[in-house]
Amino acid sequence: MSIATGTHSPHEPERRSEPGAAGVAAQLDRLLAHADRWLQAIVAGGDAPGLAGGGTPDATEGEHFQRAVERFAARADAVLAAVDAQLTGVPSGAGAAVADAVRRDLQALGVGFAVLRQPAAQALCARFDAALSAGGAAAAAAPTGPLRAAVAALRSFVARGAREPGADDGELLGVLDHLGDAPSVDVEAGDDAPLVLRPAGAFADDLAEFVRSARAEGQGAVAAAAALAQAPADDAARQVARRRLAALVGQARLFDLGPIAELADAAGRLVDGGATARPEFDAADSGRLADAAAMLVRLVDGLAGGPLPTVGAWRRLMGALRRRGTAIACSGAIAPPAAISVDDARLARLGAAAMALVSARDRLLSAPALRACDDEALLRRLGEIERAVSDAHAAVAALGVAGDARLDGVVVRAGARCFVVAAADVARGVAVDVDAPTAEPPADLPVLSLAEHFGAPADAAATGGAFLIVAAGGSRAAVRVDEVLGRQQLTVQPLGLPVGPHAPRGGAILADGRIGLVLSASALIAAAGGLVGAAAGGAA
Amino acid sequence: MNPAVSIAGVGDADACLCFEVAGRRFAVDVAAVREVLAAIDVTPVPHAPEFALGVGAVRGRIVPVVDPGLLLGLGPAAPAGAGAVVLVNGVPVAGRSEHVVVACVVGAIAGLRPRAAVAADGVRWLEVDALLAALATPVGPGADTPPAPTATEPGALVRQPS
Repeated sequence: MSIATGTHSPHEPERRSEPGAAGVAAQLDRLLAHADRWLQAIVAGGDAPGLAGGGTPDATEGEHFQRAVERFAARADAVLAAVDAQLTGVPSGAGAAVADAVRRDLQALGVGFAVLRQPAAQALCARFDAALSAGGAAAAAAPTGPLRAAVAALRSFVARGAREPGADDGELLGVLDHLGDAPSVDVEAGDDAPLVLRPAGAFADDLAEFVRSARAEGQGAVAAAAALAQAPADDAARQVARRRLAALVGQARLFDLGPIAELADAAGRLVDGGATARPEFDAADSGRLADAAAMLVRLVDGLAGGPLPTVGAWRRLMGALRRRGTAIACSGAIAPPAAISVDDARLARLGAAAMALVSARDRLLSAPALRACDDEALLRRLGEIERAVSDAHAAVAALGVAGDARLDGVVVRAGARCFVVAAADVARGVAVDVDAPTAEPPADLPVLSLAEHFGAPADAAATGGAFLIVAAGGSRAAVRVDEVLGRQQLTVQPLGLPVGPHAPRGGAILADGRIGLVLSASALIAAAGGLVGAAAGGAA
Repeated sequence: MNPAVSIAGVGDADACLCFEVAGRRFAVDVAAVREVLAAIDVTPVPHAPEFALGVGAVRGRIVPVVDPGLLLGLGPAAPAGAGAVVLVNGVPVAGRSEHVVVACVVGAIAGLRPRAAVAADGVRWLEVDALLAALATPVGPGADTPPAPTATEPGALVRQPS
């Protein structure tokens, strides 16, 4: 198909001409490397700088570390007690909102246990999280008993660990064996139920900061809505409203505050629509925008303890915003504006970097032992990272970019298509010269031609190629490709299509804007084995 | 390609987007429509069903691209290089506030119309939920087969608007 020239958000041209965009990207890359180094040093243990003077926790056991352990234990016990109380209140099922809150709390505790080198406790937190993620409607009526037993075991472990770091984890391992069938519950809230926003959990300080800034954004959005109502054609007022709402969406997503993020996003789309089809954006739309801004302020206030709107009120407003916003946007779309070339690759890269930084920030700030650390140098560096992440996130949130799992991938071409294999699964590459086929893959490996396997159109210009030696689960295979395009840090996204088990499992937008299909090494090895077997059978 | 239309007179609650698929007229609730594009670059995905044309990129997000005409057994929705692309909202992804977005290749866009007028004209209604269910249906090992018949039955995907 041809190049997309359809409707786009009206502020995209501003993105392209935004001064310093390349500088922002470079800064993000630098910060990402910075955050990664610290994460690896801190979470993996090793020579974690600043933690108990630089040694490993087991080796030092100094006063500083002991104090950190005690603080962590107190914090962990409080969180676990809250988790237990939540589970006690719903004995026949955790409920979706409670499950989400519990998962976040236990994820944070898991990081803390990792820092303290308590693998059994860390594994239990991860298992708990998996148990709450799996299941679904079939498990809706399952009891929360196994989950409460796990919480009790963790509390007991924490209490003992605070007195004696490195406590026996036999009890936890026992619980792990029985948690596989723990229930997961998904409960639909009634329209009259108050909206449930994720509790502060381990992010109390961050959430308080969010409330402060979000309240200002919400009030700013109210003012911007009022300005738009007076002058719907005022581009400056529209841009102010859009910027404030985009920032609010980014902040709310960072804290998993879905109702706020969705409402701000819907309001933003209404503002966008007003720009693409300005004659259609009328006073009633300004009223809707004002309603949205007012509810956003109420939602944010609710985080600070104020009364929350009900699910029904939120849904009604959301429905009105979505219907109207979409109607306006579609009316503008049918008469397409001038073609806009969106730099998808840059947006994806910015999104990937920012989301990685956000993840790093969350992990760093949710480790109680680190937050209790007195080492000035470490705290100073954490502060630097936090500020940098905050700036980076705001910059990317303004671009409206989201990110998914990151992958260090090897990008290859087979025919006209691009594919990606995880760099960790590639053992090595062997160059191929079709005119002098001496560079053969190892004779003992099954061989798979990627182009033939996926039926990619032949590349008439191909004069060479390469073999990738992929490895997974103790098996290896040689994968023939037309060209190795290089190694890239990529953001992997789901394809959203029904595909067979040997098909690509995800996609990533490459640096040149094309989509690379992400391949599983184990599937490639299985396919290579199958082809060898088929060939042998045919010969026989 | 697409003539400009006005939405004057269309209420917020009863608007629907009308378009052609393989020469037949369909409508979809405008609340399910996220955006309309003139076209989209498609990257084919091996071993996907025939109706799944591949994936495309929309502002940094990868979205599945489907042909509802092929899914309904009506033939291609639009001649090659013609038509438009309607982005419809899907179900939320677990653990995230974002919605799945699916790109549907359609023929000519007929514009926004009130639901009552569409019903009177006998335009068929495209059930977005059923369309998305077809995308969520697993397919056999390595086969380019369509999803389970229950999801692709025309009766499950279309109805007369009420």
